[in-house]
Amino acid sequence: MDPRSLHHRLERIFRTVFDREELLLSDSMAAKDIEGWDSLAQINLVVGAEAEFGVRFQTAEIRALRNVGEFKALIAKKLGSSA
Amino acid sequence: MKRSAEEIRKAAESGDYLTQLSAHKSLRELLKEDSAASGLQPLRLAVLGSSTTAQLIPLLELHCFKEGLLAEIYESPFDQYQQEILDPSSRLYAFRPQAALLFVNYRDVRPGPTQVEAERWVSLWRTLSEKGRCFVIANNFDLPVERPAGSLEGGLDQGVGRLRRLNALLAERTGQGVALLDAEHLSAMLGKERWHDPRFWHHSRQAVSFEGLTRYAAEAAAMLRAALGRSRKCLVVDLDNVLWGGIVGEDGVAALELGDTPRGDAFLEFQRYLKALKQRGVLLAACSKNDEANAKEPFAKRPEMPLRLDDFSAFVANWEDKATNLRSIASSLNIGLDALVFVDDSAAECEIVRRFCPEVAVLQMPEDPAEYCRLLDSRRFFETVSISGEDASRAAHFEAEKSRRALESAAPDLKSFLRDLRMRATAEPFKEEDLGRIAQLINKTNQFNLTARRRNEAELRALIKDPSALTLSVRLQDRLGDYGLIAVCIGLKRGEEVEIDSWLMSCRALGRGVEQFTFTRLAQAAWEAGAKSLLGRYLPTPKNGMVRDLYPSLGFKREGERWRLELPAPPAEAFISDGSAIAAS
Repeated sequence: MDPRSLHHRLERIFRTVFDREELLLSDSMAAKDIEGWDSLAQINLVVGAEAEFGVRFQTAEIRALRNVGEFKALIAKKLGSSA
Repeated sequence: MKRSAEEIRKAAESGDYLTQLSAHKSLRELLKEDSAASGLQPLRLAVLGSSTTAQLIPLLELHCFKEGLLAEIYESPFDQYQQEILDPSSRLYAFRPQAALLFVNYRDVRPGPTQVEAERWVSLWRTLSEKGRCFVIANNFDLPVERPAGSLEGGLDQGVGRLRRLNALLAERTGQGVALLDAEHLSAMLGKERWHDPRFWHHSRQAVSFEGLTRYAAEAAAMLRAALGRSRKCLVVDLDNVLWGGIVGEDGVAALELGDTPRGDAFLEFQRYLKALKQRGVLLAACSKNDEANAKEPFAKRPEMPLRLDDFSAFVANWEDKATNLRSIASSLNIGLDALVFVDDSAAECEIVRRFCPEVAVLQMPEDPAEYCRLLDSRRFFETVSISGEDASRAAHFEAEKSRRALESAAPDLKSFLRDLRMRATAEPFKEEDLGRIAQLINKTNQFNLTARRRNEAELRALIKDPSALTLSVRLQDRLGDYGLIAVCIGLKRGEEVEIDSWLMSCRALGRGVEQFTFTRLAQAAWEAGAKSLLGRYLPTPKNGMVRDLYPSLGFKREGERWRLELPAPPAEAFISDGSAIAAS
């Protein structure tokens, strides 16, 4: 599993959801750092990530994922456990 | 992201949920330019949801744009739809919507008798339609995945069994400005396990998955387009490799793939789908680069094809470019280019039409003919939500006439054919409100018209008050349709005689036994007025030869220029030669 690839793929999803083509993701970014990262955007990120990575988030995780690093770690974990 | 209008439409057609959301943002940007909205039809739309509608709204805007509509949307607060509908001073009504979309789901169904629950929904629809003076689109109920009683539940008055019955009841109650969006079918098409996502319901009351919402928005927008009278009307198809496999001009008609191979079977299936479109009112046209004789040959020589030449309202086969041909098809059918859908397997032809006739909806067929039906169906080009009264009666009349002919050919004899129609005729004296129609019949009927005497409305009105005038207007209906007022008879009483001054009938009612019925009713009226005989006259005109022998056929005896029938006893219904054919009342 190449983490850079995961990073880039997730970045693409963020760019689509927030409609900002120049957006650069960093692990430390949290909801408060990205304009428009509200509960609606949250859902859209989850839906996008599920489609992109073929993973499924649990109900509690949908709400809990509020920063990029955690998001990536959780996706990586799900990919690892399903691999 | 900056996208052109064309790219935005494409994203709406085939993009996933996130792509569509992103396209919506591009649309918002695009609409800031004044010119972007030109050509779009403005639409004030109210969206009333029992669940979260935040994601649905942008999708609706996007799909409305795809359908040529510029939607201005009022979003009712979460789960306030009932209050808003019932309160005449609600913000919903202050918005003055042209259309309202009621976005509900199976969780909104209340316990109790299903019939009562159906009435509750219908009453909400009607209230919304009347108070808002708007077109209403309400969805039916999307059956859930879970069935506590399993397959047995289908037969129970609970769970999916009850929802199915409720949906059936609701479907019967649409019309008059209310259309039912078939959310149940949409959910089944997508797969219920994908349509329903319990996680998002628990997270933020999302009743339908986002993937499902894109389908819902597409369906709603197509229905809105139809409600505004902007549905496409005519499907223009290429022939080679669209209706059949192969190229008729090169391969020859015998070698065309039709039914005999798996691919050929798929072409036949597509033809059946087109036939079904045609039967429900979509015009078909052919547009092919071919010699006309070649293009028509398969219709004559391949009887296994469901489509016949007369299924096509326009048939153009030549070597001109298709953009030119589409224009001439549109003008020959007297419809706009924006009423056309063009289907071709050639990317080049599709591109030419897109470029030179941008109003035409273009659909390029994929390589595999097995995909044709589904692809065309998925685009909802010919969605209709309501048929205007006139269209409905015309369409209904057309269908009824076809059914009558079918019955006629199936029926072993005329008597049982008539009996099968379960005709019902009524005769009554002229009434003020019928005078317009009566005058029209009297002045236009040429063939079944014994005397061809014309009268205007004022003269007819005078007859109503004239005690010596026996007037009859006859209506006919059968189980296939209502003919309306189709025959008129005027008798004038002089002493113990009634002379039939006028007797005429619309040709639509010929061959139904109506002449017998009318005659019997007049004879009864004459008897009741104290007459002992009927007098008839046939005044020949260039067109009324068909009734030359009517009086002798009814038993009248010649008396110089006139025909006389004695009425020795009260005329019975037995005067109707086929008493079973017409149930008189």
